Amino acid sequence: MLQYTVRRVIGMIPILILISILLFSLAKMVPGDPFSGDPDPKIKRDVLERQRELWGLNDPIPVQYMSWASKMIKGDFGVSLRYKRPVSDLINERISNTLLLGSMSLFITLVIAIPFGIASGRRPYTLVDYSGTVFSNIGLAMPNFFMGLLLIYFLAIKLGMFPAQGTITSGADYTGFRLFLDKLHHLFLPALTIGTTGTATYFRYMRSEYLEVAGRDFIRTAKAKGLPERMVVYKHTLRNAMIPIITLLGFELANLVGGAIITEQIFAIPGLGRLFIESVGNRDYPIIMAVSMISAVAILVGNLLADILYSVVDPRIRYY
Amino acid sequence: MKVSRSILALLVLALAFGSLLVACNRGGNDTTSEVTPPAEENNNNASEPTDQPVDGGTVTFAMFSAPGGVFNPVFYSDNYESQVIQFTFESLFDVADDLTFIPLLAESWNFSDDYKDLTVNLRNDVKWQDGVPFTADDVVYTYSVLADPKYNGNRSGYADPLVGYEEYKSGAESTFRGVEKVNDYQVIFHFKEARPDAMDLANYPIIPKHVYEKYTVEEMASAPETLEYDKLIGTGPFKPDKYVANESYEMVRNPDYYKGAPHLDKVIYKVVSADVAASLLETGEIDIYNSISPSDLEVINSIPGIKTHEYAAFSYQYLGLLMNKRPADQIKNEDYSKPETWTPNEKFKDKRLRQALAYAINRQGLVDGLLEGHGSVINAPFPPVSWAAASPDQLNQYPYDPEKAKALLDEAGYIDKDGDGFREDPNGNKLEFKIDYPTGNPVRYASAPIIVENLKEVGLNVQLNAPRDAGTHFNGLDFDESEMFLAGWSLGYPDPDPSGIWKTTEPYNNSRWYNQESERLLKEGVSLKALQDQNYRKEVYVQWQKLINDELPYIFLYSANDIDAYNTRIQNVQEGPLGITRDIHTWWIKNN
Amino acid sequence: MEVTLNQTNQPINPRKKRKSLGPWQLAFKKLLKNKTAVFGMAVLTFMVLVAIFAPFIATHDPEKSNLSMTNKPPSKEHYLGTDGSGRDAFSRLVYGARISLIIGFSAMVFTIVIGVTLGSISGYYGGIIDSIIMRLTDVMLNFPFLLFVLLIVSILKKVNMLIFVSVLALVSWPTITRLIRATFLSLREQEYIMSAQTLGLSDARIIFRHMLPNAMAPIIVNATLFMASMIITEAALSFIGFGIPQPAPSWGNMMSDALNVRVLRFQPWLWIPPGMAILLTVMSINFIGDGLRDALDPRFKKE
Repeated sequence: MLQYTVRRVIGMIPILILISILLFSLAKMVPGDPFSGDPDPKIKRDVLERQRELWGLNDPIPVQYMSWASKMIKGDFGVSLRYKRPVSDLINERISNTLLLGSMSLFITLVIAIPFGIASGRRPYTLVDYSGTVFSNIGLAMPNFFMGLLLIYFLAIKLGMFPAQGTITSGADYTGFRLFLDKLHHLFLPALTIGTTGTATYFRYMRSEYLEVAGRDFIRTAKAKGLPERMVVYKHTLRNAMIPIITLLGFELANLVGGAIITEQIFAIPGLGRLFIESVGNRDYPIIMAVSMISAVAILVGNLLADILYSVVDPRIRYY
Repeated sequence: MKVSRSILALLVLALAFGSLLVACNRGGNDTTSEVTPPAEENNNNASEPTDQPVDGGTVTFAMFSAPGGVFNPVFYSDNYESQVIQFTFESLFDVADDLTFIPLLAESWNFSDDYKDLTVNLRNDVKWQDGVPFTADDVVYTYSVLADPKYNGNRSGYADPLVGYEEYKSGAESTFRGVEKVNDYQVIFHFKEARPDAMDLANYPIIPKHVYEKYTVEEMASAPETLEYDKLIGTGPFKPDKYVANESYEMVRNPDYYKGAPHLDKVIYKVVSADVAASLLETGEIDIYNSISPSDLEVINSIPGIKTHEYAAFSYQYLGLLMNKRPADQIKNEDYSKPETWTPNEKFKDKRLRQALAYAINRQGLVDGLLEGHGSVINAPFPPVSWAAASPDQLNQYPYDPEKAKALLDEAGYIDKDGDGFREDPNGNKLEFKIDYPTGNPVRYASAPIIVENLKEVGLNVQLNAPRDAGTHFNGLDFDESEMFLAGWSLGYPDPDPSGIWKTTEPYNNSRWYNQESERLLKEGVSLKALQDQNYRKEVYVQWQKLINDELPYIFLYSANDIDAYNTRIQNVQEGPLGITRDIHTWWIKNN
Repeated sequence: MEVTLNQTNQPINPRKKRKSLGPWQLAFKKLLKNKTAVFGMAVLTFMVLVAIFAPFIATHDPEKSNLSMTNKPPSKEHYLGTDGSGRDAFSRLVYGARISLIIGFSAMVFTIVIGVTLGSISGYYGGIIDSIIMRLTDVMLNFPFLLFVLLIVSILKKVNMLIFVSVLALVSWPTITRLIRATFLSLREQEYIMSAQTLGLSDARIIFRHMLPNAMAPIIVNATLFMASMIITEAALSFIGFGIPQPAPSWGNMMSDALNVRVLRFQPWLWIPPGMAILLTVMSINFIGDGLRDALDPRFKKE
């Protein structure tokens, strides 16, 4: 297993290189460049042409790629062609929002799915169970942008319980803990939106786990021995629940950038997803490459985690 | 424990259903209870005369995209950056409501007889926001930066037309002769030749020499005083104070402002999504929402305490026609200079066909339906408020008339012979048109299929290509890729000279229109005679507008209105054709 | 007396001939007993019928604009009002079923074919082949859909259903392949496979005749659930403007109107019905999928 993991990690390097080449070529093949869209007649063409020269856009593509790659290896993400600022600054400004959003949604998922899943499993086919199952079915079937719109419509616009936009209340000058709470308040609805599917899936998993464990022979034995049933079941269910949490983490990690794009759009959250969409429209190659590479690393690591856990969960699976 | 768990679940469910019920109730009331007649709506925007301005208060503007992060006016490149610095940095002149120039940092000015030199007298009572006096040195410095050999921003076009530009740029000369300091409060702009946009060119925002001179121009591009909003120093009424990148930008009052200390404590720009700006106006999270989308107007009109100001925007949308195609090698080399070698596009050669297009498209319908009346049809590319605009009776209005369109097409020989419902060309060959259009502007996007419907109705086989993102679309226009395309232009002001787009050899001449009469008139419009005699100049431009209105290389569609919305607790807002932010230092907050 | 033996070597009483049910028929009977699955099938059938009979159900041409009737609330003439171009929302909802269902179904088929082919090979052979295919999925998962769509549209100038479905399949096959592969990985360790190998049967034969039928159950279940996710994906892409272009109606692009606050707030009849349509369709497909999973293999472990 360890050998396999090490091999996979080492194997990531050529993959990342291949991905970067493909991505770079793809980005360059899309017509246009940062200086050609939505023209401003006040700026003469030769000025734009000079800008292209300056930023190396007229060099042959392999040259451009090598220049980007050599900087990337040293950790230099380059300068944004549109914002004229270091890409790392732009990413740092937004990555905390994306990460906070991701962790909040994971947290919400666990906080809702575990207790409700267990409750459902303990009382199968009762009202509690039925409502839980109904909600989880809706949650699975609900497109997440529809969920986002509904949440804004009911909880933000109609009830005014949560803000509909942004990450902080500007002009309020909060700092420290108050600022943190303000952010949580703003990110609650988007986190709920992103977490809907995960919550529903996890709820069903917890419920079926509980049912399965509860029916096992060793439970009956433990009961016969006089141990309280609840404790034994909880101990075992919760222990089993830990494993897929990591799978869930892997999945969340992999979807960090791409999964939040629509939600960030609807809730106007400055995160990596929005940055990516904007930079595609602007043909801002350094940002496109930087965000894609970050996303690629996240996806590869996430998948590796998931694969390792497949084999832990089902020892019959072997990797050669 | 088992009881409590079930109860917990039931409680949560009850809460959820309960709030849904409440929400539905509220929802039901929403559309009725909020149409309280907004009291101050149609009143004059001025407060009662007995009110005295009081100091204090904060006004929050909405903006829909984060500024890029380069705030030094010499380097900024996007609209959003210019918004957050508009109350900080100033230029020599301001623009009045009739699009003439009035003093700002300059007190007075005059041209030499040959219109090549512009002498400007500066105010002597202006201080930078850190206390240092503003002088002619700052003006000279700003333009020297724009002309600097290492300057790599977009605005060198402001220094290019000045004398000595090439010499300074190449390093042959060590001082830039284009802007000359006469004394601490007088400068002279030396232009290479007389030109109508001279004052426009002399009107670039001025940056403080004493702040930036410690950097080379190359270093300046990444200096903290360029990239960090709170380090900007200007001459304007508000000084940047703090910011949260991509979210909010705060300015505080400049008590030494030369026109008078502002009353407001703070002005904030907040980044919000355009889609919820209206509801933020209602909650008071924002006070001013510029350029609202017309579909928000109904919502906003029903919010008590909010007033709207509607005015014609300085932009228009059009359906472009590719009149001529360049040879392949010229396209590849981005060579626009040889119109004699261009091949006329057979499809659009006949003026009657082009005019038929104009009659066939229900342009007023687009304004009424898509813009809900908040706009107007245009027939020539001049802003209606401009002194040079032709009056409507001087132009063909091309009212929506499908019958007339059909008659013109019949007359020109475009008949449907094979009975498939679509006309063939005069030679009997099948005729097909493809329209390219971009995403990004929702009204323009929605207009595309409607235009296709209109044209199909008069028997023309028009299809839509898939919409592409703006970058791809506009890039394609450079390569003559689209035979019919939707696009828009802004109407430049203050100077009306249309050469930037319409000169034959301009890359921005998207339709590759090659018309000798147009060339002649454009040249005439910037001749010395025209500069000296504005009436003559207007005559020339009216002739040109009549020409383009008849020849129709573009089918001009519509010009949307801009609507600004603001909270009426703000007093002294001046509503004009350029917006509402004039003289922001006189604004004050009236708390009821 | 002749004794006939059935498959389990037990004598059949020739007088009492009872039709023995094969495993598929058994599963189907079980499925029918599952109430939620039946509900799901009913709803899905309803949607399919609506899609088929759209021309008879719709009241207007879904693509025809009417500039004098923009943004009207529901009325006798327009059951669900009109959108910003004056098009009838009810007719668009009805015709939208066609696009969503057809795209969902074809994208699913396309992807499953790719996924089963690659997943079975990957899961069975393991080793280098598995590594290559898995690394290929890793690369594909990183493919930014947005960039790719922009490129395709700029080259082809037309986005019709076939192109869109191909792009969807191209982007989705990695996930399905991994799922199928996991199934095959488990199956590979079964004893009958090892015995088949010992017997010297060819790999292709083992995969197709012995493993695939046993994998059919999870494949069918995954396919069903995957169709649901394809419908959602199509809607999401149309929502952000990268889907089937106007004026063709799809449930997703009907909902993109709701990005405008006026529509979101005051015209819920424009965006809630298509949202509910997606929700119901996907839910019913999920019910069917779950029902199939329970019916085909009651001990089938959930992913």
